Formats: sequence, structure tokens, C-alpha cells
Amino acid sequence: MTSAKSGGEGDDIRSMQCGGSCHSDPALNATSAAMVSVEQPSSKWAGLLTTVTVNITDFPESETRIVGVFLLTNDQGAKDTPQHEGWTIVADPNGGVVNYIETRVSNGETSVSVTWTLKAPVVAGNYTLLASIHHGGVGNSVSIHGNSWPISFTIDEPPEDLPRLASTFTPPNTRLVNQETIITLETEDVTDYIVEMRVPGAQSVTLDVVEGTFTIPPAINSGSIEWRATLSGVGPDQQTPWFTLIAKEEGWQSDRVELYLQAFSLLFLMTGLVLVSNRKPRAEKIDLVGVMGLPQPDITAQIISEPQQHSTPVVEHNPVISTIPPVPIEGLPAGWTMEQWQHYGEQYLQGGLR
Amino acid sequence: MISAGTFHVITTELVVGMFALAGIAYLLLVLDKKRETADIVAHWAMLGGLLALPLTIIFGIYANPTEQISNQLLANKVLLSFSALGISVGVLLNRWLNKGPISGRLHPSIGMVACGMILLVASLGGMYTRGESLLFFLPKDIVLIFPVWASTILLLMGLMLISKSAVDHRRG
Repeated sequence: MTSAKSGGEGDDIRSMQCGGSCHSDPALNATSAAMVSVEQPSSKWAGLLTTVTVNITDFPESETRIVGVFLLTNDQGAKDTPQHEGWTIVADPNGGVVNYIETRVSNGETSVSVTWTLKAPVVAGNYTLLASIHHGGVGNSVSIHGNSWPISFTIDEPPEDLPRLASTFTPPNTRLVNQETIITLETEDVTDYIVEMRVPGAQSVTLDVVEGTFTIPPAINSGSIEWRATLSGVGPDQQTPWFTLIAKEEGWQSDRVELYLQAFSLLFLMTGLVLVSNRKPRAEKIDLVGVMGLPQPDITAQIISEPQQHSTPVVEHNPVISTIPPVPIEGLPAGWTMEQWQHYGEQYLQGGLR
Repeated sequence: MISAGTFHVITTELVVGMFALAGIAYLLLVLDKKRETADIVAHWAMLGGLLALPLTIIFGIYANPTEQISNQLLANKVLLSFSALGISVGVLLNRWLNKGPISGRLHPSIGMVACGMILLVASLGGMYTRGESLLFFLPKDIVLIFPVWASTILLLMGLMLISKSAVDHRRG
């Protein structure tokens, strides 16, 4: 990888790609001037949901302003995704479930923050997370990379009576515009809870919970809202992280079965059409001996002596030829070939080419 | 584990290389130059590309294992590659049934169309993964998906044409 891919590479599960920038070949790669940092997880209970935010500041000048962000567990470039350490990605900042996402730094801005929702490993212990970014520069730029410092923290076993979301509960990541979202919380050791909703950065509002279910109103435009629950029970009250719900316009979609049926139809149709295109017409066969009482010119010899690319049908035992006008008694006109005669002989006989 | 996307790239290189070679050879046939050599190269290169093409399609499908296809570029890639596959099979069958070089310009022209379609599919792949393509001026986000009944009719028409061609060939 020597130059930045201006269109990005697409969100995916990826190991870190330093592209060699760590080996300092400035002709091929460069180190980013941006500052990258990872915030501590919002909660640190084994097997429970938490959020991790990556902050990118001092983002340098870039033509596309696209930045790719990796959430990683080490900087070795292999076995470094959160999944390798037992984390489960519940939601990435773009509404998917991957550790590498691409986002755009707004014009006039030099910073961007992205948040992953994760389910912590079920085994308590010490864990490390770090973030890495790559982006382009101006013009046909080389690939530019930057890493955060790793953060270390301890994941503990949750107390037995801790009010919590059930391990089977997965918050929704995305929805369509103009579509409300009904969520039923699955909880453990919870007697009551309240749910708040907010537009990122704005004041939160409390939602009504009816029989364990609450409704997030539809979004008018593409964008995201956040929600969280405050869980009450025998143990101390617990707040879930802010879960992001992204509203997207309904895009183009096609069912695979329909698409593949059409693809196979085209396959057979194209094969059939091409095969038929080469079908020789069942033309009348003209016996030159019998036509107009003309004596038989030595056509067979001429045709046989022709290279094989002239595929004029010839019956060797009975000199019969299809669609060829009868050859005059004096033979072919001077300089003519049989192929020319086949095409223009009729015109010649009618006097058009004399 | 090596992902299906990586295998897709490897097999795509094979297909594109073979079809590019075949395309040049078909061009020579259209221009009536070096007919004997071009005839052999065109059809063998196309056969090589055809052997790799199903693998490319399968790995491409596994690289995006969702029930819904939500990108027009991917849908166009699928439709174009299957169409090119059909044309190529037809071209090779015609050549095989003819038991010798086929005269005229129609046959190599159809071969060139198949090669062009494969190169277009490869270009769409570049557009999908990198957002860049030399064929940036083509409208790649327009895709026509037929209803099931229309595709079924097309499928039956195709099978009928193939059957008819087979019967005609047997009759000589």
C-alpha cells in the first residue's frame, strides 16, 4: 500500500495496517499529525455492555477528509481485533458490527469522535485497547497513519445482585427513516427502570415504559439518536451506556434469489442467442449442372483449393452449393474469387457489374 | 484464515488477464490479421478465463454474504458477469461445433463483446472497492431487476434457443 485510497476501503473487520509507516519510509507512507486517544470504557463489568469512544483531534488537511478508524487490542498488526480478546462488537459508529470504520471529518472541523458499543469479555482480568487511524492527504498523497497510546483497565466480575441488561439483549443499531422503534429490555435483577433519549449533545428526555417496552419515535431525516436505561434493583442503581440508534434512508435493495434467477436467465439466453447466430441457413441447394443448362465449371476444385476459413458448404460427391449463383460458361470474371462471386454473382449476371 | 475477498481478487486477475488476451486476439480476427494464430489464442484464452470465472463469481458472492444486495454496482457486476459467461460459452461452443476457424467478422465481434463485458465487470469492482474507475463516465448505479416471471420467461427462451441450436446441429 503506497498511496491513500481516495474512496476508502469500506467498513470491515480488519487488523491494523501501518503500511510500513512504522519503518519510516517517507516516500511510501507518512505518520499522521492527528492526535488519537481512547477513552476508558463506560463500565467495566465482565460480560456486560459498555461503550468505548475514540477521539481524533488536530486532523490535518486532507482532500477527501475520510478517516479510517481501527479499534484494536495491540499494535502488532495480527490477532489484534477486539474479538481476539473476547470482546463482542455490538454496534460500531456506523451501525455495523466491525472494528474498522470510515467516517468523514466535517469541513471546517479538525476533530471527530466515534463510539463503539461492546460486550465486555466474560473472563475478568486486565485488558488493553488502542485506536489507529489512516487517511490521505492533499493530491496524490501517500497513506498516512497514526496510533493512540494504549489504555489498560481491569474488567471485574459483576456482583450477583447487580441490576443489569440480560446477556441475551442486543440493542438495535439501525432503523429506517420515518419508522418508530419499539424496544423491550431484557434485564436481570432489575425491579424497575427508566429510559432516556437524546439527540447527541442535546438535553435528554425521559420515555414512557409500558410493560417493559418503550418506543423511540421515528426520525424525519438520516441521523442518530442515543438512549440509555437506568436500572434499579436490590443492588446499586446502574446506568447503561448511551446506545446509538442510526436512522438511514431506505436505499436500493434487491433480493438475492431474484437477482440470481435473472443472472442465470441471462446466461442461458446469451448462450442461446450466440449459438443461434452461427446457425447456417437451410438454403436451397442448387445443382449447377441442372441450372440453366450450364456446363459444370470446376468450382469444386476452386473451393477445395481455397483456405479453410471460407466455410461455403460443399458436397463433394455431388457438386451442389448453396446460395451461389450459377457460374457463367466462360468461368468467373477475371480476378474474382468464389467468395466474391457468392456475394456479387447475382448482380453480375443481371448486368449490374459488367 | 484467508478471506473470500482475497480469493476473489486472485481469480479476478486470472479472468481479466485471460479475457484481455482473448480480446486482442478477437480484434485481430475482426481485422483479418494473423487468422490462424489469433483463432487459437482467442479461443484458448477465453476457455482459460471461463474456467476461472465461476470461481471468481462464487468467491465474490461469499465476500458479501448477505441476504439482500444493497449496492447497485454489485448487482450490475453479477448480471454482467453472468451475461459475459453466457456469451463466452456460446462463442466457444460455436467454434467447437464448427470444427475449424469460423469465417466472417460476426463471431470474433461477439467474442470481443464478451471480453469487453468482463473488463467492464472488473472496472466496476475497482469502483466498488476504491471508488475509482477509468470508466467513471458510465452510469453504474442504474440496474434493472426483472420480476421473477420475466426472468423465468427469459430462462425458458434461452433453453429453447439452446435446444433448437442443438437440434439444428444434429440435423447438420
